[in-house]
Amino acid sequence: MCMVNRIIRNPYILIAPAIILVSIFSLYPILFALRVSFMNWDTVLGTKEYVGFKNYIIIFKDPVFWKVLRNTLIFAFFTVVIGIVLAFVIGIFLRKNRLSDNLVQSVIFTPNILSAVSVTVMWMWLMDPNVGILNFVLKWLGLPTLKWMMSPDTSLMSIIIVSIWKGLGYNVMIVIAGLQSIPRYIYEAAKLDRAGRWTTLFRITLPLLSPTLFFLLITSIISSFSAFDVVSLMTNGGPENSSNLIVYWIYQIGFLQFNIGKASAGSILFMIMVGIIAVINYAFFNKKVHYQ
Amino acid sequence: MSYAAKVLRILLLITLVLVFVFPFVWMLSTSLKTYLESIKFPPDILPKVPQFVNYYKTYVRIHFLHYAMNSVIVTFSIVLGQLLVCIPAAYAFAKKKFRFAGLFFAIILIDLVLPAQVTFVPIYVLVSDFGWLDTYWAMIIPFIYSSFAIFFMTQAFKQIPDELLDAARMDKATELQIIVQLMLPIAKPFVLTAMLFTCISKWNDYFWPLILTNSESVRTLPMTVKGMISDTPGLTHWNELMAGNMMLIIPILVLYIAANRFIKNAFVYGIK
Repeated sequence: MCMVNRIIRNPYILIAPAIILVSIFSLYPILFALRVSFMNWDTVLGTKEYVGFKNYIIIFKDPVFWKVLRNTLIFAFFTVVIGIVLAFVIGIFLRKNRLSDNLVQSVIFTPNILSAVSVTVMWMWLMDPNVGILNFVLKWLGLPTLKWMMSPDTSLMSIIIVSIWKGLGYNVMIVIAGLQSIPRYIYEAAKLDRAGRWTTLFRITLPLLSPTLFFLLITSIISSFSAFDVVSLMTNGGPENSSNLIVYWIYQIGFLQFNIGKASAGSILFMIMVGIIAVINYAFFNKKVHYQ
Repeated sequence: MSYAAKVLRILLLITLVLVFVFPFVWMLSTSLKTYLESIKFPPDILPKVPQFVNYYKTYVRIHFLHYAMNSVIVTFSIVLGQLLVCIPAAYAFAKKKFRFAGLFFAIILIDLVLPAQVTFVPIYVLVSDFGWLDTYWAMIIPFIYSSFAIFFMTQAFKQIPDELLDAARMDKATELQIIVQLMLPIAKPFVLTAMLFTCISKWNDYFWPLILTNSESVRTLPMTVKGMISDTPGLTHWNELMAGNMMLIIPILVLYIAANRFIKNAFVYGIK
């Protein structure tokens, strides 16, 4: 007992397991990826040699990379913008903590706690091109039916819809937390000054909510850039790479084409993108965001 | 609220409930249909006779018990591991002064903001070099540490006043007693929140089992349910797939209904 106590009095021993694990499974992999990105490493052929920037040059000359990058930007733009705008509108209506508000909040939040597998399986059934109920509804409304994730024209849209549906509850909860932290006296003062509803919304609520929206913006952009599950489960990036996103593309190179060098170069490029997003966000919005 | 705003609100609530509840209802209804009923077009809303046998068929077909056991083993080992690794670290960061504490904490924070998708290729290589592919080690060891849990529990432990710890030390409480009998009971809701988050996200995880396993032996439930989708379009037995999906979802839903507020909090704070 005495030994145990002497050991756990030492803070370095207390943090050692955590620091060792984070070094092995988080810090070392970054350096490792950087090193391997300059190597020609094929796990099937067993080749392993330094080739300088060759992997990066191959990637930049690869039309698939540019297509995937374009898809990722479109995917991120729509999931982030629609996700935040919807969350803002819904948050405004559900912020009062009435029983109905809480109930609906819980319902919208449900997809968040489910496996990506469960969510995509449900939606692949709704979107089935032959017998899915969404096509039935479209037919009933007299609209042309869609092939959803089976067609290059609609596959990206399909994964955008599913991603928004899965993530919306989280955005709504964050918006509501932000709305509830705006002090009530500000609204009372606005009322005394006879500010109309729209004036109050755009001149008071929106500016005071901007830190919350800014936080959501960063986390949503980064998580939509990292999207993998929905692609892997619903479309495998197809048809013809029409729904392929950057992380799934890296996975294809490393795990289906067994080219660890090129996949690592892809990972490093992806890491740089995430870094740039974070820096742009901070530089650009720091000036425009209202902090209380 | 004006009359128009009230009507608008009710319309919005109804739309939301429809959009978010209907997929579940449809899944449940399909899971109780015969195969022919499930591929009927236009579809019937409800099956003529509920086919509960679909659940039994699926249970047998996908070796449900085997994968459910794997899910339970992996999830609980990770939760246990995280408690053992993260609580001492959080205690040190919150209550001890030591050199380079800031640097070490910065490492935790960097890991917190870095998406896991950045490093999955090297982690695969590393795990395969260890000879861990297709073993429980691969499914557990890389995840028994969580920067979110450390960060979150550090914040919670910081709230506990130092005077309380000093008083306990005056009474000759040992360090172990201070952590187990003083810190943990006070910070219990926070520890629970962090662990609920770990528990549910590991039960649901699809990404890491896909990366770190090649065979079926240690895979968990989500990949098994995914495996029920036929590669050839049109051959999937949707009724049985929906039954499998229900079996994957039900434990989480029960937990969600029982501990609604806790779980919502856990997922709002647990970004990663």
